[in-house]
Amino acid sequence: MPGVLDVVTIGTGVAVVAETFGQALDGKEALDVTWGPGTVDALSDDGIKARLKAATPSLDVLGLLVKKVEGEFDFAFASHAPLETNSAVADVRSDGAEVWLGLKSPIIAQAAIAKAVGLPVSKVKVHVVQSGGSFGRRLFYDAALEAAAVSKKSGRPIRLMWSRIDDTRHGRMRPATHHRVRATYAAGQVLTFQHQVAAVETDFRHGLGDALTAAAASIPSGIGNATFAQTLFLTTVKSPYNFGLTTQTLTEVPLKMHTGSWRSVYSANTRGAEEIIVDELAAKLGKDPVAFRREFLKTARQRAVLAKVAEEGDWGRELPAGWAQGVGFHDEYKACTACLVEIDATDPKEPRVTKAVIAADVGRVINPRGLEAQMLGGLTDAISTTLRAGLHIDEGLPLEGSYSQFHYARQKDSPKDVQIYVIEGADEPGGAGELGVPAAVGAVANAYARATGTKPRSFPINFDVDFTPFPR
Amino acid sequence: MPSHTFTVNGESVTVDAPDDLPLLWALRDLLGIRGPKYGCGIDVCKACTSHLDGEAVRPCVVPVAEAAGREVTTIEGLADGDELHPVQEAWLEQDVAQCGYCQPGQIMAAVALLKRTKNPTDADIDEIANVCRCGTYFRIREAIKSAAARMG
Repeated sequence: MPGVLDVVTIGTGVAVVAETFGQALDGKEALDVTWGPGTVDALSDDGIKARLKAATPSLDVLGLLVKKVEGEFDFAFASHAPLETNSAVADVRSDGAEVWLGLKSPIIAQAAIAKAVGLPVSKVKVHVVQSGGSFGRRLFYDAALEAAAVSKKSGRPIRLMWSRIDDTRHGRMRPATHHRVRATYAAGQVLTFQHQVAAVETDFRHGLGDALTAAAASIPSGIGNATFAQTLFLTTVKSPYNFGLTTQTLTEVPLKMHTGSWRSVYSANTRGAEEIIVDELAAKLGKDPVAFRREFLKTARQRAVLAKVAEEGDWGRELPAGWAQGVGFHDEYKACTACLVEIDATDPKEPRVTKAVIAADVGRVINPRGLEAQMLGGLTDAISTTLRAGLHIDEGLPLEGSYSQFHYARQKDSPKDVQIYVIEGADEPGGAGELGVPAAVGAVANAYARATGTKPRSFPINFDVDFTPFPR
Repeated sequence: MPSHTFTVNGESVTVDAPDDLPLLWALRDLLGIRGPKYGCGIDVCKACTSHLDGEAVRPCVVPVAEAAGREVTTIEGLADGDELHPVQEAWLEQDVAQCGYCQPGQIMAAVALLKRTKNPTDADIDEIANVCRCGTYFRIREAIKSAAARMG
């Protein structure tokens, strides 16, 4: 074929080497490959959901007269969908190797590349370059391993890039989760709050950027990774409310799927579901969602960000039928945030978040515009994954193959009015990169619930297969 | 191998490539013009948005043969020497870019929109379907409005 220079089989697939990517992609289409079986070929969404549900521990047995609010939630897999597909440059020679790519764990990547190409670590030079946003995807350095393997076999420098379809179907994704949440109450007080989460295992084998934790996470039979998962869950997921006896547990279901941390890891789904229950609890107690949160939040700092969005967002203002406001709150990373949105769900299948008001206290502010940008990005991620963006798994693979099918928000889905207020807080700077997602998930879901009079339980809310999948 | 001559950012270029090679790869891989980005290859993400005779197109679905004799403008050709285009200035003012990968396409789409409509409404801006995976949409909207004001 014109421009095609080489075809190389490596451990993870077949690489077409060409003068241009256009010709390489044509070459890829022309390949006739007999693939071995996948790791979860028998599994589709229904089976995965059933396994997650079965793995979710039951809630505590209650007396018949105990008053309660409860819900069971499902969140679909979500693609990292980095706009820049998986990519790396590698030049592997007999006496040394150089690679260039966007990386979050370059030290362990260097060691892995050295091992893969059979060179001492000192002979492998890794250049960490700026890359497209990956939202967790580039914790993994598989592109470097592939580019290096192709370079070694083909005997030339390689600029490797995955096609969009491969990136969507064979990349990484946020695991699907199932949730059982219940609060009990009496005499206007919340007595207990229990949340059992089951998730398809999140792959943390990249470690925390160093060789030791990567090795620990990679201990076979899942023990290492499972320990990591529990530690992360227990240190990151907490309730900001005085809800009496509070328990939150994670049960992982180890399916051999390409998963990975996705902006805010467990918190988007876990705290998102909790914020929905908080609204339902407020309703049961006959309280306004903002007033209820104000009453049960633990600290003045938390109440201040909530008060800010209620005031600036004119909480409680009159809206037309089919429209509603919704609020969500989140505390993590030594920071806290509240999000208030307005949604137009006149057509429940085509809802639009029209306005968002966000307040954040992340301690000392280093880069205010950058901080606002992170909150804006978190909002857009929440709008996407709450309303329309997810992956359907069909016989082991996502049906979605591009942005025409994985419905990440566009301009038309994004609010025309966004106000972000930064509250300068305590001295120590907290984190903002992931902070915005969970509160906004709660706000969008709660606004949708109030606008439509429904109780959203399965996310994304509008998740029909509204496309013809590309051939497998 | 057929040869194709066209103008890119004011300079005449000739590339030898199959007629149906997408213009995106002629630009990126044969001419080294890397502003237009690959994101999907099927005119969905619109990250490669550039101009052909002044109108927004997606070079990932334009065969190189179609560019023959015509004028291609990529993000690299938008500024006038050291003087940025007003849309680029507005982008800086609003601090729009996060990772930046989609931004050349977003800017080229915005410039094309402002060419068609001097004062775009929110509904006009909504029609820009370029994906921004960092979710900068609101700042893009503000920057387009700011650019419209600058351009009077």
